[in-house]
Amino acid sequence: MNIELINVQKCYGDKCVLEIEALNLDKQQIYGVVGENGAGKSTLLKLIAGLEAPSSGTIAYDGESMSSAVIKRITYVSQTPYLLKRSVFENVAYPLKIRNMSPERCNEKVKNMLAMLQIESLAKRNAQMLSAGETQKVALARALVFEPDVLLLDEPTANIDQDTIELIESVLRNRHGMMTLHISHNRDQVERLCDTVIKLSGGRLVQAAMKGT
Amino acid sequence: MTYFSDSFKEAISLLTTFDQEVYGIILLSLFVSFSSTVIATVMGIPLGLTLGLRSFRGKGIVTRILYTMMSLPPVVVGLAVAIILSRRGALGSFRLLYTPAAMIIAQTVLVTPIVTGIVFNAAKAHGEGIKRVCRTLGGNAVDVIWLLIAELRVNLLIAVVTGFGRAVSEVGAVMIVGGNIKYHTRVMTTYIAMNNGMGNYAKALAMGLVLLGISFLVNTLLYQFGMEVRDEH
Ligand SMILES: Nc1ncnc2c1ncn2[C@@H]1O[C@H](COP(=O)(O)OP(=O)(O)OP(=O)(O)O)[C@@H](O)[C@H]1O
Ligand SMILES: [Mg+2]
Repeated sequence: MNIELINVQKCYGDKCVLEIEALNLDKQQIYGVVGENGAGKSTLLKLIAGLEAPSSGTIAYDGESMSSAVIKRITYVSQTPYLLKRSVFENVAYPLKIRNMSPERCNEKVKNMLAMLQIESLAKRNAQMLSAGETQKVALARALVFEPDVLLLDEPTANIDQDTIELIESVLRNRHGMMTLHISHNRDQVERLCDTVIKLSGGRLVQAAMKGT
Repeated sequence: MTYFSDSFKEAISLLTTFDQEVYGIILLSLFVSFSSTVIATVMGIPLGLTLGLRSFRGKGIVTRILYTMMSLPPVVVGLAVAIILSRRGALGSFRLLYTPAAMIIAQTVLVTPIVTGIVFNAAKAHGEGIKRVCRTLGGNAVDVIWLLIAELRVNLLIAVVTGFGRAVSEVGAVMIVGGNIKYHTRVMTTYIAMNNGMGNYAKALAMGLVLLGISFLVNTLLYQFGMEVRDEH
């Protein structure tokens, strides 16, 4: 899915925290979203996810406006993910269940997903008792399991150890055909992982360029 | 002190030789309070969830009114309901005053704000997060409602149990709209108040123990449920 932002503004009262004249996001690319604290990175992702409506302007998804069909293909993993009060396995199964997937297929997919992120050992644990890093991994598994077209990640590796970061990066790189917007404060990571860097400052786009151009 | 322990002994013997009247009173109490709690739950849960999740003009004042209503004095509620149900009142033609139906109505007025308020607080604190998660995972409006109920289940149960506890233990409202009529509208609390007034402390105490027992039972169920949720998996 390609996404196009045109004259998008997000304001709270008089204060506009995000103003983007034009931004085209191409399917299949991995975007690194960078900028200082309060630059508007999370706001940008929430707007694209349809969690918040822009104060003005339009966001087009393959030329169409946000709809219930579109929202099913986009997912957003927040800076502080909320896991459901059930087991890790059930958390990852949830998006498949609401898509009415058969229990057998659902089980298989969840198992594969947990294996891919090397968190099989957590499957039966109560999701609300996990550490911060474990929580982020489960939230990522839950977002990837239904194969969204657009994956919005808000600092997904902030609490994660180096080995697991490499694992997650390779998982993301191997997902072809999925657009990923990845907020990160880690320059090296952006350099390693992303095709294009979107730099925000004070709510404005200061750069959106393919790496090396 | 011997006086109190004598009463206590008498209470125990009364409890073990329950007569029909006492059973009838306990059953009516449970029926009235259970009915009002069910009605209050059916209204309070959707109302609390909606108020907690929506932002609208005047939410602040609505919140304050709701909190005030959570601690409505039962006598005042009884009085208001009695006026409405009395012959010349707005609903006088239904002839409901001094019937169990009137008691259910009064307790419903008392309990609905309690259920609504507790659900409202839970929805305000956690509802938005739950709604967002459901949305970002592709859920529709119906999925959101089911997920809210599943995630807030402990809070909802606390709301219902608190409401029932309030209903079954209040005396002011049922006394005024029910009238404590023998075999008709006499419930545990009005029985206790009446026997206390007549100096039958043992009888009053015996019924008080039953009331405490019910309260203990209900809270045990709640506690068990809370533990289950915490320990599961
Ligand atoms: N609901 C809100 N009401 C008012 N201001 C808000 C609201 N949400 C966000 N803001 C403001 O918008 C600005 C951008 O916030 P945003 O969360 O997008 O920043 P960010 O780039 O993600 O920062 P960080 O790196 O700290 O996560 C901030 O100044 C924030 O205070
Ligand atoms: Mg942020």
